[in-house]
Amino acid sequence: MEKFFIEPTRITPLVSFDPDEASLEIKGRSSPENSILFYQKVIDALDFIAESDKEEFTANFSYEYFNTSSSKCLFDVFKRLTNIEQSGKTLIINWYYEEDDEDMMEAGEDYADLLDLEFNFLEIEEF
Amino acid sequence: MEAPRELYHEEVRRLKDFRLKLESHTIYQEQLEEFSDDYEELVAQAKVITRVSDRLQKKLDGANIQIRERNTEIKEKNLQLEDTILELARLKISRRASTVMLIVALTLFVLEQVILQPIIEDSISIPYLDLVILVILFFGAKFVEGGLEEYFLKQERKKIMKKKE
Repeated sequence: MEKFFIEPTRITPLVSFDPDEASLEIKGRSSPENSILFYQKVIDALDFIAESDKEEFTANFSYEYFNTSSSKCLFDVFKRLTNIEQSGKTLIINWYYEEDDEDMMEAGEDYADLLDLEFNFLEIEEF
Repeated sequence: MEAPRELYHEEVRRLKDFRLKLESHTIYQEQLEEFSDDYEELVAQAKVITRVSDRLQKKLDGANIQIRERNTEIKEKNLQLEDTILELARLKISRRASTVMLIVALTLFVLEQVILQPIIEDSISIPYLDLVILVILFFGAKFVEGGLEEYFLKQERKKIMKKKE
């Protein structure tokens, strides 16, 4: 699978996937018209990583906002990350949130609790 | 691979599979357990998604309230600015009208002194008539000045409206 980069828009986040570096980055606002279609590429990329011989994978999430259908898609993304961890790879999940944005931090905590994943919560001044 | 079009496509697929098994009466204990696990996961998912969405909705509501407050603030400041601009325009216009009237009054005064006063002195013998004429000219000038101010103000307003458009 080749690496890909999706430019951010007013309603979709930046997505950067690099299989060589074994990393994924999603950053910005997410309220696409069709969330399932938008996140499918990410899901496919994570399925690819789960089956690859990579030993480590890093996922960085820096959300400003995401809508309800994106939150479902994010759940699916985290499920794929669980698969990666279960396949014996070292998984690093960095959950960035803006200073004072406790809602976003707690959203990350909810996902981490539900899927029993370990998140690194990192506060940053501004995206 | 064709992209799924439904948000809960995986969950719907499992439900359909289970119903097919139900219809064909080939349900085993293990499959029932599997299905109840799926259902449990779906409930957990629904709980988290609702909680996360509510939380972010709250964040969005907060941002909307802030935007509304800022908008009200901007509108108030705009009104204040419009008032100040109008006040400045009024001052400018008043000065312009006064200048015009001063020139007109001076001209009338000179004309009265040079042309009208000798005629009055020679042909009409009413005491203080030239003084009365001067008073009439003064009040007349004040009245015209007010009219001029109003006219210039209207012109200025038109200019401001054009700029706004």
